[in-house]
Amino acid sequence: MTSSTAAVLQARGLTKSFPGVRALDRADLTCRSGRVHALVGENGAGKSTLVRILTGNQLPDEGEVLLDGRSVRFADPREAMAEGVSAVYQELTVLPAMSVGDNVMLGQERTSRGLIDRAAQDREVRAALARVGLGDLDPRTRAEDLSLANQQMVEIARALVRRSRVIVLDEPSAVLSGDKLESLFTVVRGLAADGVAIVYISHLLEEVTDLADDVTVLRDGRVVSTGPAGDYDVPRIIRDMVGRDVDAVFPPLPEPADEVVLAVRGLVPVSSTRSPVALDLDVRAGEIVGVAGMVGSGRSRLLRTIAGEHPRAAGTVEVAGRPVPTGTRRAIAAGVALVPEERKTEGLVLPLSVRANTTLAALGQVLRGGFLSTRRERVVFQEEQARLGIKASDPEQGTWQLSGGNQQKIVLAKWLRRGPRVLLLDEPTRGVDVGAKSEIYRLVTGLAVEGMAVVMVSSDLPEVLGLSHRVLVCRGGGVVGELAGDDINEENVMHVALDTAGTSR
Amino acid sequence: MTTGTRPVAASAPAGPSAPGGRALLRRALSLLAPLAGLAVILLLAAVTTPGFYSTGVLQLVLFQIGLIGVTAVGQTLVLLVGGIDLSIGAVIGLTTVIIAVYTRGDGARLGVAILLALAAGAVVGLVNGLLVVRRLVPAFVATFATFVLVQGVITAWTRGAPSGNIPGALSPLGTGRWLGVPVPAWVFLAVAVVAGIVLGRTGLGRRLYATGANARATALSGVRTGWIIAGCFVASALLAVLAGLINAGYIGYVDARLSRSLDLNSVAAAVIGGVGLTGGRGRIGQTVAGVVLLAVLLAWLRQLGAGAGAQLIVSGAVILLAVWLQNSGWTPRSPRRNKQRDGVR
Repeated sequence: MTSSTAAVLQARGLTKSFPGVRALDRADLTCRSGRVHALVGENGAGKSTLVRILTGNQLPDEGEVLLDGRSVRFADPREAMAEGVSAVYQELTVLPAMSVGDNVMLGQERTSRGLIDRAAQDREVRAALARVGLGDLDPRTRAEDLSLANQQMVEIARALVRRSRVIVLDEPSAVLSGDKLESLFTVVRGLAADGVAIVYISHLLEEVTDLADDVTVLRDGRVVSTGPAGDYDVPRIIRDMVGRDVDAVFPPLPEPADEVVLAVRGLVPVSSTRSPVALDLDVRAGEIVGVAGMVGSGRSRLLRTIAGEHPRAAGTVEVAGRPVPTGTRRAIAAGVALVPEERKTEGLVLPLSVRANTTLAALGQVLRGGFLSTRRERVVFQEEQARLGIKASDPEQGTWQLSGGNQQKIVLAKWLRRGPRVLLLDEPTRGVDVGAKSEIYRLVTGLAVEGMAVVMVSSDLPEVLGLSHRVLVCRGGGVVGELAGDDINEENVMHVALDTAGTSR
Repeated sequence: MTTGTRPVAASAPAGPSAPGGRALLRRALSLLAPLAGLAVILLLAAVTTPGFYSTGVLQLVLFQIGLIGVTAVGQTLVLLVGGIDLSIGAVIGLTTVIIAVYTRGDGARLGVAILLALAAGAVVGLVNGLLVVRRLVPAFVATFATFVLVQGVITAWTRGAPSGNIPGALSPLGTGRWLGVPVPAWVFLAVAVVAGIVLGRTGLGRRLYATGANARATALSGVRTGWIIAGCFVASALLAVLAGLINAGYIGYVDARLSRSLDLNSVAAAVIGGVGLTGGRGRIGQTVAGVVLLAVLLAWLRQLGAGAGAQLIVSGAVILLAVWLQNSGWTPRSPRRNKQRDGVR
């Protein structure tokens, strides 16, 4: 065991702003060799931005990164890797058709006289694989034949071959479960014992307190607290993660009617591995149901299944008492509208004008004698522009030119033209500035008042809490809890979302 | 800031907006490049080949415009939904062979022969469309495969030496004139007008553009994007059959090789006109301009005494030039290009 506590990598006052958001605000972080440093925070707290700066994927607006005490500026990930700083991201970058050995050595090929030196490479690959607990694996195995867990180990081995002194693990446990998690911990502890500094990002707080030597909690881009793991327990971490006031202004929620508009029974999305939980859900006219949970907990898939876009393994969906078959078109015809998470690639056809996007889902309304009437389209757009407060100079303006908030309003306008009964919102305010956010809140509440049933998935907890009559909490592919009335608060949601009672997994 | 999301305003280009009054001007401007090119070639032709401005050459140019034009309209439809159709020449050849073999020069059998040719074209188009839509085969590969397949069918069927007569009843379609203008040019005009109206003035056209620009978002808006894409391939194949009939009527005998460069020419005409190779961008008016430019260019080369090889070289070079110009910001700024630029960072 090493007792070294030298600071290898340090962040000093890192600040990074994006239009409308301060992603990182004077954040400090100190990584010492031989120690596991856990970085925790809600979705959007700034963890990813911090990591991206440390690994050369982004440059800070202010502040500096110190490596062995000297200031460095990584222009791209290659420079960071050359200095011994690597990251293993949640989205694996293993090339499935290549062998494990080639994957590990990718970009680091050992050559002799211009040709790859197989023997030397094999030795190095085997050594690296042994350190991640895959000593028995033949380097010639194709990467696609490995389990997700082992692919992740291959990624870590890749970082080892680069002689990394700092390895960032971005939610490594998200693809793992049970005993796989235990072997990941063993590997991580082993690397730390060898003197590597580990930055460990995770949503599973139990494992954070188990594994980490140091903890840093981020919230709204700021470091809320930092210190040795011994000073932390799960309740304190949660308090630090969520302890803030709901600062956006939410309009008062309407009283829902008695009529059940959306009735979901035993719904199970088709999914790959985890044993799913069937969803039963009634949403009444005028009711807004929020869906919370960590990224990857299956929230979006659930929403897409209701929208008929993702196939069902089981269950039924009814709108106003009539069954909705699966299939996007049929769901739309039944009165279901989905505002998807990826606004630019799924919500809008960016190259088209705002007018054309507004009428896309209801072209029948703007026909005259069988032909499109541009004049009618403009009238339609101007109606929606007035109703939703869309800031666009002209109906012919390119949709790509609008800000995120106005783009989102165009997506809403497109669906409102069809007069849907059920509105499904997936991250409705992602990438939307604060002002437009509260406008969207007002619009959604207004639509509920008009009798729509709304289901909203969001990573923005205050938004879920402030805008929902009820909150469903997702974990591991299904809804595992429901909160209503006074039980709706951040700590309760986090407890269910993170499974801090330790009931499953 | 949320995990993995790019800030919105950063990638929104600060390009000029297109207020309604200026939309028409912008349309006219997009035709500027092909028309300027046309003017240059006409000028060069006047200087280098004195005989260029004769009735005979003009008639030939108009015929070429008709033949290339009919295929280019189909190609434009496919390009607009983000595909490319390389099987056009093969379908033209197949049409000629079907007409010759089935009729054996007998005009009474022509009607059925045409129906057979249309059916065969529809099958080729459907195969292309299904490969692209259902099997997600890149259009380039799918249509090249059907091109090879159909050529093989022709070769096997005719034992490599296609022969036979085309009924005289078909020759008005190829060689006829109306108001002094070759019938093929009129056919092209009619096809282009219909396509232009469908693309610009109907819901189908709007859905087609939206599908080409972003198939996923369009499908999520309740549009049957698969049907639209497959439909474009079928339309392209059927227009290729029409071009095959024109071609057969013009030459009066079977020659499967004659039609081969029409794949390339149809792509060239559309791209020169300014139709995007990545889908969702371009209008029939641009294709028409490209067709005229290309036909004039090819006629001039022929007047100069250039052989088939030189004509192919020029077609290829012109495509490269047009694509290069498109990607270097000569067309109105599109978000697609900006996205790619962001991705490089």
